[in-house]
Amino acid sequence: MSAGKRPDAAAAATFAAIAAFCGALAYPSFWAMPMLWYQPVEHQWSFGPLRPNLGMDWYGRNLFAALVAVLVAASVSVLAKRRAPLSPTAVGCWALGAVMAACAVVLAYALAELR
Amino acid sequence: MYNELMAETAFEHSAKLLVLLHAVGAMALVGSCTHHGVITLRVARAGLNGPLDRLYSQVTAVSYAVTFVLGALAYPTYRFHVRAQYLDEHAPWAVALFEVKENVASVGLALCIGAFVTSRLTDPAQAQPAVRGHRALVLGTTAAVWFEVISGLLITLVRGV
Repeated sequence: MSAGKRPDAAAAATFAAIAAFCGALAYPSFWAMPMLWYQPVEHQWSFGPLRPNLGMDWYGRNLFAALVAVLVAASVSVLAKRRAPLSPTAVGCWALGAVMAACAVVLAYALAELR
Repeated sequence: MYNELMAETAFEHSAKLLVLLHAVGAMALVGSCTHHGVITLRVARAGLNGPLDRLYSQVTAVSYAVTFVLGALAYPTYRFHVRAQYLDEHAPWAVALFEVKENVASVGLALCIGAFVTSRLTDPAQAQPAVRGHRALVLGTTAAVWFEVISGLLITLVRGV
């Protein structure tokens, strides 16, 4: 990431990565998909859509979200560098998207626990 | 049903030490991110202290990462010995609070890393959209950390590892 040359691209990639991380962290919690589970008593890892007894998906969801965030950051960075410098408004939109994604995910988890 | 005497979770023997270090890390983190939040608000008003903003971004990112890893290592012991064997039955509200806390911690880590990266890209003395985005990440990290500290204390008051 050549931050010195194209800080607008790096900033957009960072904000996009945050939004992607938040979305990918929450997605498996609300929509069934195969996930990496850790079983604390058996000390075993398993991969699948159904939660094993006492299974913990937090490690798997964080790993999945981090991978998605890295991929999104790399994609946005490459695409943004191929285009003309982003306007301050465009960078602001990426920033707004990141903040809104973070707020939405926290709110979704809070509402899910309140139900 | 698991046999409490037979079951042993990862890092169980050092869980109390891990949680203690997690708490010490949280103290450093809440101090650094609160100072960073205050600096950020001052910068928004007066346009000062770019280097200080970058320094606090660095300290907050390191202390957040260390605290996060220590919490992750102690998590299996909490999951079995605290949650499954006590909180699920006696304090379901604490279980729900922890579920929110663990996800806020992940989101906060993303915001914290984002604040660290954007502190290297932007001049906080200027009022550009990217700078406003950086400030939002800093203040979001601060809010997340305070929520985590208060909810962590509340849960530990009910039952610790």
